[in-house]
Amino acid sequence: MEKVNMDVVAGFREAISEFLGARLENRKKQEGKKSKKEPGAILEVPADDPEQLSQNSGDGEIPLELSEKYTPSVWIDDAARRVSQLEFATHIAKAAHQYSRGSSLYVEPVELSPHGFVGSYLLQDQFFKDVVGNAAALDVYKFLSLEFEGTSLLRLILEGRPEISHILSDEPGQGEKLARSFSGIVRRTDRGLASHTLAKQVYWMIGKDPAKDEDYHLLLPLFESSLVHRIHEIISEDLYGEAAKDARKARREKSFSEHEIHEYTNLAMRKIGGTKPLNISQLNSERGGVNYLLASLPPSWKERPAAPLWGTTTFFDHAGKRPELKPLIRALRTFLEADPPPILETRIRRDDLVERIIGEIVLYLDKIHSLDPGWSSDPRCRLSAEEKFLFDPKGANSPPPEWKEKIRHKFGNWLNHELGKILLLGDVEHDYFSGMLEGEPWDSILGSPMEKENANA
Amino acid sequence: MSEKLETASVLAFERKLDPSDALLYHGRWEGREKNVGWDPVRIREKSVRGTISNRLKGEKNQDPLKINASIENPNLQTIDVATLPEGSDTLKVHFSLRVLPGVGVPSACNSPEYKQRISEIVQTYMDSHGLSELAYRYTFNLANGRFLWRNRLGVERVEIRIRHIVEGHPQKSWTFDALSLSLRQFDSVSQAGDPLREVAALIGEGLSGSRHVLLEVEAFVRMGSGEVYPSQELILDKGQGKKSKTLYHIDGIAGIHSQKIGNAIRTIDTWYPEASFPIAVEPYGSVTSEGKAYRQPREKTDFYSLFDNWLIKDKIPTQENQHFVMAVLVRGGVFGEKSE
Amino acid sequence: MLDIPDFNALLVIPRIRIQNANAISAPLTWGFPSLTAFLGLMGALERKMIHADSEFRIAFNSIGIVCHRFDPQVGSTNFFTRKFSLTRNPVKSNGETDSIIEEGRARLEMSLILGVDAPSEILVSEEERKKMALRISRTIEEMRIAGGTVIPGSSRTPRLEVVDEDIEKRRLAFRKLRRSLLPGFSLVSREDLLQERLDELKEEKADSTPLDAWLDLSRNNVRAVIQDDGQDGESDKIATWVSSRKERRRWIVPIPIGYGSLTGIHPAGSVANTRDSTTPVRFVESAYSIGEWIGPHHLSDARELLWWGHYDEEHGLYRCVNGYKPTREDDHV
Repeated sequence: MEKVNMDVVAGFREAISEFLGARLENRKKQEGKKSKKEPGAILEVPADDPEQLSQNSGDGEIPLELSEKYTPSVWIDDAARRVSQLEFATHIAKAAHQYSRGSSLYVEPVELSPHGFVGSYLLQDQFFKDVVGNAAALDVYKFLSLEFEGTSLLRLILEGRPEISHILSDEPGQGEKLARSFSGIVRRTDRGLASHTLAKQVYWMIGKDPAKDEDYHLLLPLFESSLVHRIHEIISEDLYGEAAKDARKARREKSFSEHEIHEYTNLAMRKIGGTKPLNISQLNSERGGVNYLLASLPPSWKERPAAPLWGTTTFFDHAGKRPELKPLIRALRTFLEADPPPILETRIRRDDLVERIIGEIVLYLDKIHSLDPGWSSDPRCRLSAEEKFLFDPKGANSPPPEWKEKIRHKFGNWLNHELGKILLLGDVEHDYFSGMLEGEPWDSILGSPMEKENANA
Repeated sequence: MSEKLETASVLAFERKLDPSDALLYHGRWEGREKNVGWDPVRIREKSVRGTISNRLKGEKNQDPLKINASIENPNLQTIDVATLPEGSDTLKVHFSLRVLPGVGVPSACNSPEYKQRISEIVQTYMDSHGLSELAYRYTFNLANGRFLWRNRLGVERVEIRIRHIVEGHPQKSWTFDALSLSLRQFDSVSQAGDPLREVAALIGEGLSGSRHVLLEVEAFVRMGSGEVYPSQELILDKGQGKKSKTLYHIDGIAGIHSQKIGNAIRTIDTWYPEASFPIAVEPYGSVTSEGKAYRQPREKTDFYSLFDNWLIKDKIPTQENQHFVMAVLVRGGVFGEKSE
Repeated sequence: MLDIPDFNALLVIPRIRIQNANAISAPLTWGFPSLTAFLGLMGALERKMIHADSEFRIAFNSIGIVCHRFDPQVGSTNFFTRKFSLTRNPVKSNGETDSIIEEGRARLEMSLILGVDAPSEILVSEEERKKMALRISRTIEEMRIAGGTVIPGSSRTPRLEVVDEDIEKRRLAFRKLRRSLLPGFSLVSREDLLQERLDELKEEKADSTPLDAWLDLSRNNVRAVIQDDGQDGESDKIATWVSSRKERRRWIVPIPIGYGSLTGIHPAGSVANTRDSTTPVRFVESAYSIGEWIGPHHLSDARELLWWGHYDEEHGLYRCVNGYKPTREDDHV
């Protein structure tokens, strides 16, 4: 038999008595306030106090002997009965849909397979336990979370430590019984697992034949509340923490700070559980029902709009300095300067690089086409007619004659020039480069906005 | 049938009438035939004075302590508005409607027996009624321009054009005078003209799966001038000082949400108890704007009661309620257990 | 089994427009719909084709995604975050408004590229290929894509392109394909960056985890660097704030990559209220990685564009795999 550490017993008993004392005080205060306020006034009460909850809903009586209810033996007995309404969870079902009555799960991160990507297993033993069930029983959860010297009451219960029976009760045998009830908060069985018609259910093919059921697994994704909570803490600190505020101030003033500023561009905030986040889970309530979502948006020109081509007479004057083109041109030049053998691989690599350059120009066109049409008629625009049409097609009435040929020619000239700083390139190369612009790129660049326009009309 | 049959705990149907978002354009009434001359309705921001909540007390302007917010300094708010610009007298609303086959075939159902039973009752319904009644009513709601919502109120004329699109090209088209058709009731099929009947037949064919049907719907609303009404966005927890009204747009073109269009099309339920006007087909007959549900479970007139009784207890609903049940299946949704 | 499943043709469905697509891709991410939704679409498509025609013999094995436009239905931005626009739900039978779990929706225009394995009698005839491409794309248009629906008449003519045995021919064909996908961005896997960043972080802080690396790559980190202005005295030092996003200059995004299991495999029918009682069941959570939106012109081969499903039995991991291999030029150094 393991020896009982009486320090631990005393420590926890003190913590319990403090916990109940505080709750009693709080309760008394509310009673006082209540009597002063008008009937029906909303009380500022801890949302998890079962007494208060029933009071608020209008039924239930004012307890005669409050302090008796908050003596450890009475309160713990009652809590042990109410604990069955609660369940620990790391993964919850209701976050996906408030009416989903599928199972929530409690799986400690260390039990999960470390698959190398981001998942709850990374939390290791530093994780927040969530609680689901009747919101009115959540005070029991707070009770079980009481700590002494870094260990929670619940841990003691789950580990079956001998101190526990002494902490929970003075009566012999009673402590063990209570401990068994409390340990029920952790679900440890696969029996009675359920999904729900409103829950997400995903077929994943694991075999070869899409027509056979046995070649699939039916996956039931749950909301990873513990991991979400960890990330919520990090993001909240980055957005609203004092250190972050100071650092942003330093940045505005161009002064120094040790603290790194973290900006979550396009971070979205989803609310779970509406005005009653506690109906979803304890941690959801602690987050105020807020679920931060990191953005995985595709590139958007709206956010990084192109500048109109003012001043310059041709785009190609400065094109080589554009950050997206510069490395590609350099790569092509370096490759050609090394005088690679005239074999298939060389041709592939060369064309690949030229293709990439063209691709970047196409993306640039898409971007500049998202400007309001007609910008090229501004006097500040000094582009030639064919370039005006290329960069602002909707601003022009009709394409200037031979505009494609002219652009191709300019493109060839430009690339020759960019590469020719060392290499000696001539007409053949020029024609080759401009030839690569033949055909499709124009269709995809100029075709799409025009077609869209027509489709809208 | 089997007495042990239980409701499938997982049950879902896909929507069979699938409208796109509607886009709003403006132009001249004479230009209806033409594709050109219709420019997008744009949304712009407008500053408005909010209501001043602390009313001036006592004598006019007698407020030495400046307790009252002054008229010159009202709560400024911005809202979105959309109007027909100068020179345009007509609003054009454009959307497409896809009619999908397979009414009554669940997209998810975990009880093969239950699924079998559904297909039996659907077959029985089809044999005795076909989908003509439902299809006719959906058509009626296209032709009467119900989907225009507020844009249909107090206007001079509304013309609806429906085109049947095959392989990307219009195959046939029909024109309706929307204001001649009621919003309060559905004329009987026998009174209906050929265009209504033809479009209804097409929608019926689409739903019963003999052919895939795609319709393009255009409404021309001659309103003179003034404000038009795109959908309003619903954003909870707006930050301080934010816009109090945000209108829906697609790439800068004012629009009406597909959900809103769908809601109008399925506003065909006149079969609920003591019905006096059509409501949208919803399992509990709920009408959000009124905060009311017209088909109450305690009266056993809601979808779940009717459907369960029909399938499990073999209690065949009235013909009217059979229409309603089928219309809920066309609407689609996740059922399984009662959702409340 | 991490290799790409066989494909001898590519089915290209250019520029489909989708409305009401689900923009919340997982409990920690939003934006473009989840890859798992597209793998799901691929499987459902194949079943639907077989269901309609038991003689259907084309296997859909992998899927590529190119996004041309993406318009999330989000409300005005408050200081740090964006809020979703919602649709009003029907009231409950007691007339009360239902409290809502917010759903994010988006409109998007995208091209789908499917890696398929088709019998040669279909592939040899151009007529057959055309007919088949049209038939499949029609079916797709009637399906839900990431919870959204296809806006009619939006896609252009679909194509079924044979993947040639000959390297040179294949390369030219792919060049043509990627040009046709411009302007646009394809989503590729950059799990390599997750590892690379983790190694870097570990040099600064030994106990860094993939979670730190993932968050680091998902945001913009701005750090003060001291520039000595040449004068003496600490107080004169000017700080320049350097942003990591600028340095990276790539569209690196956090993405859900599949599912990690939470339980063992439950026998079919042992978990209540599942969609059928014939498929084994497992509780899972989302697994996350890093992706990049990259212009298709940076891809050299179809497998760099394509994604396919993989089941890693040892780790209980159901993941989406992609064959992208970054090259030096992609790093834009």
